[in-house]
Amino acid sequence: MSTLPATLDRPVDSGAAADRSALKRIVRQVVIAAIAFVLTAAIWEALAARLHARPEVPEPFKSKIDLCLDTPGVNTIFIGSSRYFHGIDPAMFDAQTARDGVATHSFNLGFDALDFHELRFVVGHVLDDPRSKNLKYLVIEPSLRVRLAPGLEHSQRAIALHDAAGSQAVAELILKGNHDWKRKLYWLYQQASVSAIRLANVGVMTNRYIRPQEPPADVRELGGPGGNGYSGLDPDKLLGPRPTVQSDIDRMMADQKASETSGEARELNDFEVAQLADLQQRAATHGVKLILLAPPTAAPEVYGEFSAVARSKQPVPMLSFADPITYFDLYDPKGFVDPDHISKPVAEKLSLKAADAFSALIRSEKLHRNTGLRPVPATSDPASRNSQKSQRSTQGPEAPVTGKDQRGNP
Amino acid sequence: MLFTEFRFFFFFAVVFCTYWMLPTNRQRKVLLLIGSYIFYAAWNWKFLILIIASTIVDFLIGLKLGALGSSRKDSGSGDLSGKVLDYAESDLAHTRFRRAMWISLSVCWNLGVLFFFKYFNFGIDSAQHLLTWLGLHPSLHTLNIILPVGISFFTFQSMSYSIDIYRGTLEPCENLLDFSTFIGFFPQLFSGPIVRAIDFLPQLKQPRRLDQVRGRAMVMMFLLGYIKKACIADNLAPFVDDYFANPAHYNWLGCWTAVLFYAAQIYCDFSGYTDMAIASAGLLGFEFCQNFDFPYFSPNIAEFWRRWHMSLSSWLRDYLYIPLGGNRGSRLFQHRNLFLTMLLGGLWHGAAWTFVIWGALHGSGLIVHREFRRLTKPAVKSVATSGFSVATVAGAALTFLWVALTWIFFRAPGFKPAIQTVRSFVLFRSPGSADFGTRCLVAFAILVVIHWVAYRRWLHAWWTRVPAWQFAAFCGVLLASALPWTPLRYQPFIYFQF
Repeated sequence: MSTLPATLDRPVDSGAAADRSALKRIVRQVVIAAIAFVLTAAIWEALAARLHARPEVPEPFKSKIDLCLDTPGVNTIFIGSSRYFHGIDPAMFDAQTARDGVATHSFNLGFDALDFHELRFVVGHVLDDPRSKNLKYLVIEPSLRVRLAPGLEHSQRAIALHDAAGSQAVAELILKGNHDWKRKLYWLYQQASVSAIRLANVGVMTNRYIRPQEPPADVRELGGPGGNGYSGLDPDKLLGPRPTVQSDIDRMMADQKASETSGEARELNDFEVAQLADLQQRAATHGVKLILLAPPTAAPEVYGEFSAVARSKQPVPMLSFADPITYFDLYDPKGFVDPDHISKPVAEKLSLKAADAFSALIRSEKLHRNTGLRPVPATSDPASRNSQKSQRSTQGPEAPVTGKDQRGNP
Repeated sequence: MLFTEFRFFFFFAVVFCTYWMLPTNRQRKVLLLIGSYIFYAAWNWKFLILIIASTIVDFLIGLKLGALGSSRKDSGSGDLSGKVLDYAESDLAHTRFRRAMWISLSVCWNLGVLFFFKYFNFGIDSAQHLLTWLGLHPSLHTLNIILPVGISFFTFQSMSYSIDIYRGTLEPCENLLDFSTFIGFFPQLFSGPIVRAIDFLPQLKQPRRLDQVRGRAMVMMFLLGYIKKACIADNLAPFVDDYFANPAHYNWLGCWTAVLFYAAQIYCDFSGYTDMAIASAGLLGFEFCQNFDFPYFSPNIAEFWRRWHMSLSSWLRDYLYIPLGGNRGSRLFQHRNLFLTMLLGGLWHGAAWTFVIWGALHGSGLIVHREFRRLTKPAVKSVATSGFSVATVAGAALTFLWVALTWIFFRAPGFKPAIQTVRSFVLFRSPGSADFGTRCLVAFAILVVIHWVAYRRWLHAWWTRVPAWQFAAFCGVLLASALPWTPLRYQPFIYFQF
């Protein structure tokens, strides 16, 4: 029927060789174009710096850090993700520490979806700022993940921190961190796309001269109703699927038990321990004590590696409430608005418990300084941990695992 | 996957290199088909089934129509050659009936799919409003239907294929691979241009040659398309969005800024997309028809439609206007044909009454222009021969203002904001006080100057005269200099919603 030539299966033959040689020429030209692209991008980068087209501290970090450091008398700052932002009430924390005899004036510097790269930036910026001279304690979230939350890939805050040095640091965290290869691949892909946007200067002049891509941060929202950075979540407003919370908690408890009996929990490797040590060292040079605090979460992977080794390997003291066996009262499924976030009433409970644990830790360190007794972390031996745990569970939930000395004194 | 996304660059680089390295034409077409389906699946893999179903239905109908002979042969002027000789008179009537049945099936299938996905909820809503207005209170339910991207384009393409075979202007494609590649070819899958089978299928038959590709022109076209879309249209979009979210908030200057910006946005968005589509296809060795030819410099509305979305205009002319009667019959009859064509063209763009109004305004504009030309034919002739003149400039300005006015209905989210905007645009009166500042109008003037320079072809094709390495370096510099002016968030192409 067709009058068209039937060349369907005919090899391209003579043309194919010509095509391949033409392709080689094109590849050469692409390389030239790529070199020109990189050089021009470098010029734009320099130009953007001269024009102050990029913020030194991106939003929303800048607004909330300013709010925090401009609050008079703050000596304790909590820096973490939304689990902090919605989970720790500085007002209740301070009231309880005062009752415990430790004077704190705290501020919740929590940000939604803060990853470790961002946390390190915020910590560094807070420490370097002269307004933080009264700071004594820095409480940070124990998570070394650098996974970008969906929607943040094109955000100013992600892009601003992915310059050449930032991109290299993130790649190092992913590649050298103790993650399985699937996570490494996925996170690398995510972070590489942000780095590509950053290094190609996408949008930098648009932001500066045409129209900012993001609205300015809402300081009132970031500061919360009390102006101290905390924003409690209404228990009746579900953010995520509550029905899964119970099963998540069960799974977490099962994982916890399994890891403690088998000792198969994923551990922080030397590189990750070094990262924490580096942060601690940085804080120490400013005369600030760094403490890790893990709020309750029904997602076991969030603090998994820390929970298993918190008492033995990592160099920073840790207060862990991500423990449904010991802190069963914080793990009522009705107290979660989604598997990762607790509601306001539970946040209040957590704030009080965190204050007690914090006070106990500070007192024990003072005791150490006064008497020379060393606060020895609990052993990493699972059997020994189990015996400690059973001892604790007979006493009921109280101070978390770290920060006890050899005699069990808090 | 958008043409402006990084992942498209990666996808295209892989397809391009693999395509030109494959030794046979068949392997290359298989690669194009798989690549095209991956491209579509990146949006929503479930709707691949729809494309495949459309492909198979029209492929089979095409074969059936081909087997039954063409209508040109049936109604031929005594040329009883070929198959027709085999049929007795009664058989001929039977064949005609069967052919009519098959073509009806193709049209019903394609329009049915289009109606279901695009117009079902619109029809239900409109019926509900009408019945409520008549005093009845029915409770009709709409369905939660996702509009498949590109449905208006690929259904038109496959439908025109069947119609062309029915008319005898095209031989049916006997190879499913070729036909599937024609329907699903990724550069034009989402938003056209609407490619005719008669133009594209022969290109698939003949192996493409890389040394025959107009590489520099295509790369340049892609980059300029990217700049039009990402650097101009996407930067104008937020201003337009802000205005149409609350027109009452702005004064007449804000209204004018928004309307002019939208005219620039939609042109840069759609022509930028088309440039990138044509260039992508061109780099794979396929030539597509031109889709835009500086429409905003058209001296009249008829000329505008010869230069704007040319593949759709010619499609509507060939498959709607001419079958309706075209230029035959009385003047009133011709005007009716023109008006109906534009009305349906408006509805093709979107399932909303604002699009119908837009089509009606253009239809009216074309009729007025046709009557004006009839009444002033000698005078217009003298203007045409004089070339660039005050009358041409005035005509272009008037045409542009009319088109910009009609865009209000195209863009507005409903009647109320559209009327509010038209009032503000025409009467220079608005209850609001906000505007976007005069610098926006300066920016618009700069865009007009750039467009004028391109129109006059003052910088046309200089890149063909420089050595290859300089051209490559220039492309690298151009892209690196465009990216800082590209907004961070990808804006989908406006025509994706159609």
